[in-house]
Amino acid sequence: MSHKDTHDIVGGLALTALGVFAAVYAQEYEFGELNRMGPGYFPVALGVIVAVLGLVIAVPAFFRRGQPIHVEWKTFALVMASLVVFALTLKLLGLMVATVLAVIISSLADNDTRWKGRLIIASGVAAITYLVFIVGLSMVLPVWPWSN
Amino acid sequence: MDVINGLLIGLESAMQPVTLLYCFIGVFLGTLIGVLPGIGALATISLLLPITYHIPPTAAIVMLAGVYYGAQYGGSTASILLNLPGTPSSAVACLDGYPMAKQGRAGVALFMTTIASFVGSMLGILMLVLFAPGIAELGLKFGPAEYFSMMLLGLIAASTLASGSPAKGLAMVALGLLLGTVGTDVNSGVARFDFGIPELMDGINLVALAMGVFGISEVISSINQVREGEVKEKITLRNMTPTAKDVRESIMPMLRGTGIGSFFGALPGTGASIASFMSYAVEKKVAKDPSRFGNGAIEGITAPEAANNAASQTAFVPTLSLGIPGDAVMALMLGALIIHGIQPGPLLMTQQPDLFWGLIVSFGIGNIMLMVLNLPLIGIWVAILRIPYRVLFPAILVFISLGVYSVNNNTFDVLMVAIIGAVGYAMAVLRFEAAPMLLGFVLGPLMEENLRRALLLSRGDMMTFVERPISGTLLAFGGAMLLWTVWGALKRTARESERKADFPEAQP
Repeated sequence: MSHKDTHDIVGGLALTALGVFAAVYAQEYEFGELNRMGPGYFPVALGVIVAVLGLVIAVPAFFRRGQPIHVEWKTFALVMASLVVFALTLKLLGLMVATVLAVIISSLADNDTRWKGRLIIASGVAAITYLVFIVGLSMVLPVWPWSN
Repeated sequence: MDVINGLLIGLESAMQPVTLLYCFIGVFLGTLIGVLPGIGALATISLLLPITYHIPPTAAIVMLAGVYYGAQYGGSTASILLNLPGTPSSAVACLDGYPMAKQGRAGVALFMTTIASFVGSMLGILMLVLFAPGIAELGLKFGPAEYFSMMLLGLIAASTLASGSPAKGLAMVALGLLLGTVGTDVNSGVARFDFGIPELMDGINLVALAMGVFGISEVISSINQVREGEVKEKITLRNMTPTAKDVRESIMPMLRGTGIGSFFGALPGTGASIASFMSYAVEKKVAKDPSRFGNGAIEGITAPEAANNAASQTAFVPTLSLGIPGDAVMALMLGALIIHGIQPGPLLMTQQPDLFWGLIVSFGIGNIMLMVLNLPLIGIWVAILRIPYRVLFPAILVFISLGVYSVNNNTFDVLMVAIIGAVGYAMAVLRFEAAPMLLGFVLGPLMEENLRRALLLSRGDMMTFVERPISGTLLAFGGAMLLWTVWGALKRTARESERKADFPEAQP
């Protein structure tokens, strides 16, 4: 049992880091003055605000009790992989193959599905996707690996 | 007289076949995703945004709105049958709805929640009709300073009234505002935070942001969750009829719920969820026998359902009359309007009366359609609930990917969704609310524009926001809200540390 509120510590420090980064990076944009705000004004001001709020969140969390952070790493990784594979194969291998690959990968995240089920779901989703997006919405997409 | 005129214009606009068709599609989809846990109105609306490019603006907004209030009908179905809410605002319906189902009264529960939803919606629409034009008139007197203060108030309300610490809510709003600066600054033409990536010059894709933060992270959290119970009962029209006692006991709760819902719906930062929770609390307080609650008390489902539907209608009051979104979904609606080149705000009523009034009339038509969908056709939804989530979620992921892809026909956007989804999941794990961030993101560019203009007009004088009466009042409200929530948070932490001092062994 951790004795710090790790949720807020991690979140707060991440926000502070982001805010500092934004405020520093936006220095290269013209700041301007109050009566003629330049492009840099808002981002820098917001970056500072985010950074300060991040600290306001993180610091008290050091003195508070909290629960451990629970992350579903396997599920997370598989969902990410599914999306990335879909994005990369969509134009190369066509909608059908991309869909089947994406479904198989993401269905690995569920503990109860068997391989037969995966293939059935994959073909079902591919069929529905074809009907909804290609036929129904007339989206312009290569459907098969040999389509151009 | 103006209102009658408006309604006639609206009727003509809403009865166009195209509009009617998309109204039906919207409420149908809305009920469907409301029934299904794990996918919500927010995710669906952002998915539908790219599709709306190809249809006329009125039909587009009518459809999106239909998804929104339609979801409030379907949400309670899963709550009653599976003890699992289909939408956050239906969580309360689990408390008395599921016990009713276990008592064999699922049909009655489903029937009464549909009636309650209808009553809540129709009365909410009445509120909308009565108040929106008046508020729009007031809004015409707004200058950039007033707009800025109004938006700031809205953001403060959104961040402080949501659950969690106010600091977290504010940080999320500020983060959203910051993310809104990514892209080409309209004023100066300078590309901000684009890191040399051409796709970022247009800013972060709203659909990708909404889908990533709400859709993807919700899916990741929902996979492998244990689903309690099975839909055993056969729902027929006969076992759905309530007794006279049920109806009698529900009339006042429905009206009370509508009142509470209408109020919270119109307030920025609060919406259907808070309305339904408050309504349940109120019913429990005024009940003659509070111990019935949690065991199948019919007021426990009819009042909150009326509340969340009323809230989803009155949420359009600030959105349509002032152009200020009250929550993340309204922010998306605004985004949709802007994408269609329509300027939301007080002028919307006069410049686009067929859109304004057509939308309002379509709400009434949509609710009637929903009555039909939810009563005789309840069997469809019950059947759909039997589909296991492990079959649904791969389809949801593919749909999200294609939806985002279709915005710019660019696979880069799908990768963006993945990245944003990762960030969104991190936020969910760390318990940081995403809705305030989305609000900040949509309002950011507008706020910056108004801030700039206000300061230009006042020649750099920041006091202008306080000196102008309307703006000053709004800021005072915002400041008061901020102080009140900070005070509340400090009191809570003081009480907790007191408790810890008294009971040191009781620590987890």
